[in-house]
Amino acid sequence: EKKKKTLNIMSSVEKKEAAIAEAQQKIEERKAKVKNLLGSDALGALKASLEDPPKVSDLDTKRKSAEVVGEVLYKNTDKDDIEKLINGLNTKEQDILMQYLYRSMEAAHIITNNDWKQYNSAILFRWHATLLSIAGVGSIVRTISNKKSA
Amino acid sequence: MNKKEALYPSISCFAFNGDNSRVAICPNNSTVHIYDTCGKPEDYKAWKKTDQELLEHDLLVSSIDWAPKTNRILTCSQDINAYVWCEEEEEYKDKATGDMKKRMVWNQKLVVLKTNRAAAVCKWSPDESVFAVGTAATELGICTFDKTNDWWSAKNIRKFASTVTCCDWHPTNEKEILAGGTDSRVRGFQCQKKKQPCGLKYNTSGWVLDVKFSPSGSFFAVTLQSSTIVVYPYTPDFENTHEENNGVEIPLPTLPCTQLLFVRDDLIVGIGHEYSPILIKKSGDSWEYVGRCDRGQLTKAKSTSSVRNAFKKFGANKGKSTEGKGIAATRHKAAINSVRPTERDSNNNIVKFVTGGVDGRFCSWDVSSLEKDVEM
Repeated sequence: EKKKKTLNIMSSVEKKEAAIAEAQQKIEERKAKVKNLLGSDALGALKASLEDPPKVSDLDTKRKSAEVVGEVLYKNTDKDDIEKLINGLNTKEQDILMQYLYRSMEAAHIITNNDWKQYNSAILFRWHATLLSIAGVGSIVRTISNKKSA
Repeated sequence: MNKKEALYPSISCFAFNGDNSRVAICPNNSTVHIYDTCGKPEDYKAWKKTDQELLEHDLLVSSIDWAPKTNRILTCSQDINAYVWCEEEEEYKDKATGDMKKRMVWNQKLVVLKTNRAAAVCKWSPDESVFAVGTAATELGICTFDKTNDWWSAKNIRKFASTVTCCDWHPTNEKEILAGGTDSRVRGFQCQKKKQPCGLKYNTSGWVLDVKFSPSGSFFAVTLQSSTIVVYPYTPDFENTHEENNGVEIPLPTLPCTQLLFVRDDLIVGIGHEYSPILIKKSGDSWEYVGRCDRGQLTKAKSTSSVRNAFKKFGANKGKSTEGKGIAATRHKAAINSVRPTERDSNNNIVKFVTGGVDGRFCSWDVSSLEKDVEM
């Protein structure tokens, strides 16, 4: 009984750390899933990367999550491909993709790691322009006003 | 831009009277002007200005509501005041002939709001015995008439955490009101005389800009700053205060809507920052965005040649440049901020409505033609 009591009383800092660890583990799982699908099923890979965005406010976790999506974004660079993929998403997934696009454009962690091979703003803007024409200005408004964004 | 087409440079709110024969307009300042619609509430160019002006406020009039049956105008303003105006006959001396003549004047009755911040919205209840004022002091004031002092006094509900931006009375249930605020919550209250109003609470994902009950009163729609409209079923259980989160979210591809209008139980018109009204229709169990009512595109100005650009450095037109200024081809040239129905059919569904905008124009829309035109 004593053990149960001590497990329940976790400080808020511990709770946050536990949440971050859980989110990062989910990101690893998502990364593996996406890698499996990247070669064969582009739409499936995109949908898998947009699944279950992390709800923690830790910037590091969010950037890792954006990297997973980034792998799919950089693989499909042809404009027609991009349009087909975005049309295959539903509105909620399109909103999440818009949030990830803005997160990817930040590129702060890439500058610190000096890993510029991972960053190509032209491709990100191509995705952004197509997504804007399909989903409309409202998706950007939702990215701005969303308190818990990806 | 043809500025002569607009009635005013800008308007903040307007309201028709019961039979649409007159309209009260606030031209985005502290005055309210009363117009005679001359039988054409849809065509603002036919409206004639009467001498009647309501001049009591000191700051911007944020909301006007004209009670249709009792013919009283309710105005509330950012100067922390609200007034109820009644039309009375007044004798005055005609300067030209020296005779005593009679005319109709609007006389205000004081409203004691007991608040210390601007009033954002005011609405008469359906039976017009009571009205609600939402203020930036996180209060929703339910005002009743005090006969002994001959004024309206407010009983404030202080459950909100931020400005109360919108409110709507239930169409049939007595004294049930929903109010939304910038704390992302919609709260429902039942205002009875002696009891403290106990409430419902709905969580949303952004600032609540407008709340509207459906004509049947069984569900209501909420428009948020995050470009979504959420439709909730209304099951009032005032005995137990609980939180509900069972709304159907409709994400919009346009800029956010600031006001809603329930045309019928299955059709909503949204107006707001997008220069045209949008339609939202019920399809089966859920709702979907149908389209914009006005398909005019923002056009780009004609580009000047490079030689002209070079000469501009030396010319007198250094400060003026029309490059890049697009002229909107929509009927409203700026955001729309108020909407009122003008014609209803036998089922009390709205057939025509008029929208007024920040550009000072009033445009009328016909629901049946919109339904045919608007596509995804």
